[in-house]
Amino acid sequence: MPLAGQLTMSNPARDMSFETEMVDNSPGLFLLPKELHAIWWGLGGGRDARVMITNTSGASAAADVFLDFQGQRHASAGLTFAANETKVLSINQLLGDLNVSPAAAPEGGITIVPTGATPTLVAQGRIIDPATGFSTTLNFLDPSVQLVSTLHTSGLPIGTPTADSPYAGTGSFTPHVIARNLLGTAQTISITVEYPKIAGWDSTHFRKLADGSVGTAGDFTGEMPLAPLSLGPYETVDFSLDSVMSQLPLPLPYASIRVQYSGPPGSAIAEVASVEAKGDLVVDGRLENLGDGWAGSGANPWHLDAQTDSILFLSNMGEQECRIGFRMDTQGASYYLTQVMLKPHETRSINLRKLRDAQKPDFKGNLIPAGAADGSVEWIRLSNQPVMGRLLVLRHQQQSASSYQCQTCPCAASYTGLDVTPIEVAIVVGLDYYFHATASYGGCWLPFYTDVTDSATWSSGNTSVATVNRYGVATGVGAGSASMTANYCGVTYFWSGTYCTASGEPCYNNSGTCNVQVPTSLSIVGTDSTTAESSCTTGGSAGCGVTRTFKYQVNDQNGQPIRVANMAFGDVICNTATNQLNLQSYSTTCSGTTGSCSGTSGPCGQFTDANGQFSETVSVCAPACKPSGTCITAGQTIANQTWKVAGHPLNSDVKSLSYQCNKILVNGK
Amino acid sequence: MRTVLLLAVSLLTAANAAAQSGTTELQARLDAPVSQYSLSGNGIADALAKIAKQFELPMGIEWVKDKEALRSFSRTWSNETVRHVLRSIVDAYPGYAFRVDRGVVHVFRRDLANDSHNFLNLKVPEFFEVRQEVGGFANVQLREVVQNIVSPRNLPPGAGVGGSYATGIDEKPLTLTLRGLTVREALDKLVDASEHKIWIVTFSDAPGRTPTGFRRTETLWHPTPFPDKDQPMWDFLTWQEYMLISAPVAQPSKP
Repeated sequence: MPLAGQLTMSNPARDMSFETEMVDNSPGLFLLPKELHAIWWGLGGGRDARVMITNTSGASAAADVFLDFQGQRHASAGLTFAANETKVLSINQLLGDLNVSPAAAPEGGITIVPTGATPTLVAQGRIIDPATGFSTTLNFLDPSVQLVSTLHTSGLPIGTPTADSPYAGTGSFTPHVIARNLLGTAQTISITVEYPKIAGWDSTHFRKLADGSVGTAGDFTGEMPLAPLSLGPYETVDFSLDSVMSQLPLPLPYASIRVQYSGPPGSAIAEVASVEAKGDLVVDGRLENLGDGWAGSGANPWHLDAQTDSILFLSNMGEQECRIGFRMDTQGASYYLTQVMLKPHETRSINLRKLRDAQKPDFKGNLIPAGAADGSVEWIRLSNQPVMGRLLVLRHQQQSASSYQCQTCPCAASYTGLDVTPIEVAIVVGLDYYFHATASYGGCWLPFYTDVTDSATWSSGNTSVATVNRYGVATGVGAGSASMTANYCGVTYFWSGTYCTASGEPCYNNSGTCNVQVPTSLSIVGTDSTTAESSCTTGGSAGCGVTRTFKYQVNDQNGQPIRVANMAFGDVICNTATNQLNLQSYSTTCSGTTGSCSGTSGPCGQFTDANGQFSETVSVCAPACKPSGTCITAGQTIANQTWKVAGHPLNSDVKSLSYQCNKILVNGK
Repeated sequence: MRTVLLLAVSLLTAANAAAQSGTTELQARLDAPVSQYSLSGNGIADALAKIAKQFELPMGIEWVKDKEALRSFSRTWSNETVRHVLRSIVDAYPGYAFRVDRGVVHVFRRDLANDSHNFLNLKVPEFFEVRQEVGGFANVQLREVVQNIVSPRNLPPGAGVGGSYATGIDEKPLTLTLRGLTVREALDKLVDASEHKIWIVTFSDAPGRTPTGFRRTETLWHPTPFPDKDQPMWDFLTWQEYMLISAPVAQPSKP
């Protein structure tokens, strides 16, 4: 996948857009379908379906054409192509050639069968109503990639979307499922509507329930199965969900649709489109087959401007959770999401504008440049679960929507290594620090990453220094250094040409180093000032005194600063025998003002700043300082102050406070 | 043309706040639009403190830690005002009300507003003054004075007091006149003037009063009633400190 391409043409005057994706036709890959099958629907009343067919070969080519409608297959005139020729067919015209009006066959299917040994034709179509602006893509699907009889599409608007929906304000929508039976015998189709049950459908992180539990699939995604529909031989049915929408818990941000058919894999194809009430906006959703491994990856250009949003919808079509590798590339920078894991049947919506504007660093510290308007988004499943995705580009002003599903790899990405971050960190005894384990994946052109912190096995190299729990949370126990090691086992994959299978289960480990600091002492740093109090009152008695303010630095067992924010602290002040100022109590940072010792060592809501520092104001107010109306030095009161920082009492660093009338000394200074 | 609004939270604040009084600035913050906001709180005090922090509202909260007030709260608002968000929370807890006084949102239980057993209705003694002192230290001194009323120290004649107050934030010195105000009004005034923007008085639900007849208190960091000799206590926080109180470590531990 060195290069992926897509083409978009828009007509703002008619609020219409047309988009198509480049097809990989590299010699030897043979990705072009052996048969081309498409569906038309809603014809009549001036609406036509146009089909564009291109011969990608430098040699001539030919094809047979069949039209399925009214329960029968009809042969149409064959096609011949010159080298690299493109032909445009009108379904209305083809029907007319068979003396059938479009109104008599509003739904049907077209099949193009190349007659050469090597497929060379690609095709795409469009159903257009110039009067209303109705415009929808007519995809040519390849039944041969359908390995199971289940199809799925992702993230369609339904009803009037919620205010927080990507589709908010764009109208009221009715999804249509148009299914075509490729068999000459009847079969049934079963449609299931999947929808987000709780908030978090736009999350870029691992999801949990409000109570913190991981929950089950049904907690996150609701499912409403519809009654099975009969599909006659060669029949195409346009099933509008209008009649069943009242059974859904509307409004919804979006819904996804699953279509199961009773025939063998590849015996039916389907299209899904959500039509706005006025008919001027149709949101297409291409259906992917659950057995098509190619559906589990994507790479598309994205664009953002004042009127344009790009939304990536990702759906897990399977029954197991599935991690997703995600990256955005723009202006030479890469940005990763490492915590996207889809619950079974969950559809997640990732708004690329929100992601850009959040300016939140990824696990490598990278940001999406704030002004970035164009780039590419790439994603892939990291386990062998059926997953699909599509990039929706909404142009609000034009009332148009484009859906892109450029696929890049047939297999899940393979596990290639494990990193632990940070490589080295200093933590405080008694406090916690999160280590992270990030697994790297390759095998699909680009590297991807996923956060396996909670899934890895963690161990400490020295539990007397620091312990680590199953979530990678290290807790400082004692002074020293210890390694925090994560071990994680993943899966590598191999594509057989048809199936994606596991080829290995490698395990990797890596470590970070935890240097544990123990709060041991406080040193006075900077900001030291004394203010004389000419008068003060202690419960009614007049006195005078002094206030001193300075800043403390918390130091570790080696006398080195502990530059850690949010260490809680508190102090206790105790009387000594020297009490010449007749001080009877001390107000302290935390509670308590009575007895031989005042205060508690907390914590009580005070925390160090980002440098592991805090300010202290010590004060004294004593009538003994003012025997005749003038503040004088009348002796001193010595008290001992003991601090507790981050839960660790600094018992070996008891401060001697000398309260005097014109100064307060700490340890004699 | 229709536009999709996808902002998580959008706030418009008064541009010329510096030129306006605290009350006017607060009114502007309360009237600011909120495009979307979700909140989960473990009771009224938690919910209120979270929106005080989120929307930077100076706030005084007096609540009783009973079963009703600890009922969890969870809600999402779209296209409302901050005032509506605040009202939604207060209305969810019967008996509570709010008003805006002196540049502070004041949330209280109605039956306690004029209760003589509520120390917040005490008058600050005439001798109390705040002169070139930081807000946190002034709060400690106010607490000392109030404790001496609720839990009299009975200091002997000529007794002096010493003190220590420590903080990790930078505070500017204040000079305020609080004498004659109720303790509630004094706390409002401290919140209005200082870097500390939330005061929370948590009354215990346990029966009984202090020997002097006052309702007993707890704090967020001390979730049981204090000994009577140390009554009353309260929390006096900056906006940033609120969540740290409930997670007083560098990073919160996982379960």
